[in-house]
Amino acid sequence: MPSLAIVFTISFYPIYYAVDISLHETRFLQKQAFVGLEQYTRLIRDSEFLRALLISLKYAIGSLVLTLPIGMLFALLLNRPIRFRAAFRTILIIPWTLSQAVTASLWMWIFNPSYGPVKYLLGQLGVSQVVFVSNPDWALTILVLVNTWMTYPFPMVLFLAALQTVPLELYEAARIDGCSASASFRRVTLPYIRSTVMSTAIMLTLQFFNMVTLIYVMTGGGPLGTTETLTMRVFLDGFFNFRVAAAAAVGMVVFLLNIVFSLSYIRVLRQAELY
Amino acid sequence: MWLIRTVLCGLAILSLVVPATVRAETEIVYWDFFKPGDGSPRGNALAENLKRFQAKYPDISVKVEVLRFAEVESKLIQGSAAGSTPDVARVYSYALPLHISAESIQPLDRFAEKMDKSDWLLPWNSTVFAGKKFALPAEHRFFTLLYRKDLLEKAGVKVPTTWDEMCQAAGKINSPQVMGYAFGVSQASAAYYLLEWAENMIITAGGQLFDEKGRANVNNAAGRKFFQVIADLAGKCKASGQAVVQFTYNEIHEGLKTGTIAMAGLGTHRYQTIRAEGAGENLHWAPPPSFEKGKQAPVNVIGWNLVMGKYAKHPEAAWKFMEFMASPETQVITARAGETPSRKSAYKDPWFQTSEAKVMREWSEYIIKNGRSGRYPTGWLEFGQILAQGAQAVVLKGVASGKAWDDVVERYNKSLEGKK
Repeated sequence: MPSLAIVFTISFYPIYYAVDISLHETRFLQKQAFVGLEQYTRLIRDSEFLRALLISLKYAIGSLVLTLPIGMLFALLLNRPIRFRAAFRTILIIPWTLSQAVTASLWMWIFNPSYGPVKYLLGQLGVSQVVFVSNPDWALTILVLVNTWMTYPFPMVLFLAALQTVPLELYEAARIDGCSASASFRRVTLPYIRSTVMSTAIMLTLQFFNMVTLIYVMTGGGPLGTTETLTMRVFLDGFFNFRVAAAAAVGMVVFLLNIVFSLSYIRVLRQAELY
Repeated sequence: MWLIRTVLCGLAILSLVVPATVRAETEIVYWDFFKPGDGSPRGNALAENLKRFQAKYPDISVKVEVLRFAEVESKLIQGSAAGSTPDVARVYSYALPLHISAESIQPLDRFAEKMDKSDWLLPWNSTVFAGKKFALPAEHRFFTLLYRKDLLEKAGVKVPTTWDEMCQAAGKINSPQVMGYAFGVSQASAAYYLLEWAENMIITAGGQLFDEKGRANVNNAAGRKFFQVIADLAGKCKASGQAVVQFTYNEIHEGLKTGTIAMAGLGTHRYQTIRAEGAGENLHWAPPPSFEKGKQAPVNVIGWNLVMGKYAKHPEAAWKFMEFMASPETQVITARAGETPSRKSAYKDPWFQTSEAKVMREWSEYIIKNGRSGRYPTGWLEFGQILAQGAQAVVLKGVASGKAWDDVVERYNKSLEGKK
């Protein structure tokens, strides 16, 4: 019973509080009049909210479709008996050890149009005045790429651990049946580690959807609002503009989307469970 | 005999216990963003001043809690909502109205009455809101023109004094390697750079950003003029590049340091640091350009202020600390660490006659002559986000300056109506 109370307090009370706040007006952090679903209906009418929702989806899905295959590729390579494997493992995991703020600062320096190394290299090639993060057409793509660089070691480690549990006899049997390397991956490896892949996908989706620091430090939501995700709105409304009710309403939408994503993955996982 | 011995022993014990009880310390909590004695000039100056305070008031101890400066607003407001604030905190000029509105700080009138109201570079009323004194300015800074003398000389241009001259001069210097005039319209870092530039440009153009109710002024010719300067710098004169969309305070700081930026507006507080970090004698300052030849531009003087938390546990002791930290003697020590004093009498110290202090003396004179104090609405930071998008539209999309400015005003005023 005490443990249940602790779990309830830690997990459910903040959610209850966020829902409650989102149904009221607030003045700074003080709850004011009850307004029902007004904050939510306002969101539906707000074109900027819908744009932020779309940007969040692009950011999360874009990062996911890059991070998972890259993580898998490196895991497969590291699972082979190659020379300097321990060194490669160490090097490949380095981006994961950096905080989002450090990663953002590092890449902002690399892409700095005034003194960054990319500017220097392009200058050597005769290309001048190229802007990256300032370009509304490229800003989100660059954020996705930086996020992928920072995150791929996480699935890599999980996949590598899962790959080491696949019985070698299965590969042997596949080889005798005439399976190629890619067929062996599709028919043996992937089904065997499917649950790890799906759990990793769930964790990463939640992480990408809830990400603020990297985006805030790199672009602050700009240029022209092209990288303003839902969580950036929550952050700005909650901590800069002190519109806590509005922030809570967007936060609840993010929370519901996270639940929908998680349930979808779990459903797919259950349907496809082979082992 | 036994009785005398007992009484003497009792007195001896009391003599040990009583002073400790009488000298029971009052502990006040102070929020700063420098760790005392952290090795940085300002951290070391804080440590020295705390030591001096301790010597003067041995019965008051100061517990310094170090926060990142971006955290102060939210933590102070959260603390106030929970009924717990520090006794004293440092709050930036922009955030004063926010804290007054959130009731996270308290008026100082009952303490400050006896203070010398004439010994300040800015009028005493600069931190008076609705008739109540809320803060003591701890230091001053203003947005000025910093330039690389070596780059200007190489291009054969003089330091511009008007925005028209700036457009021409910076256009002459601008190349793929060096940006002629840099500014920042990024939304990152709360768009602080742009906000600081904007508030100064609007008053230089003879306008006012907000009305008394905190709404952005519509039909603001000064605002349109400001956006026209951005359009000209980025477009007509080719004095700046699209990279300005990515620039915040830090990118401009780095650019001036490394010599990839020739001129930029920046706070005076960065001047010594950029010099020390590598620009050296190549970096100089000049008054910010104006719109009229021969007329100096007014500047909004900003900086860190000492405030008393709403739930200060020891207001009397807190006031003694505030008074001490804002005293001319203390400000001389912080001036040596790079903070421009807010007290006039601090400048009477012999240190200000040294060549090291020359620049600070010049700034104090500029403040006395052209300094003003801004009035910021509680939605100042939100205005910054909207303003940044408007300025980005001018730079990236070539949107007409008038239309872009009017959109900013409309969006901001609309944002005030909704979302609570």
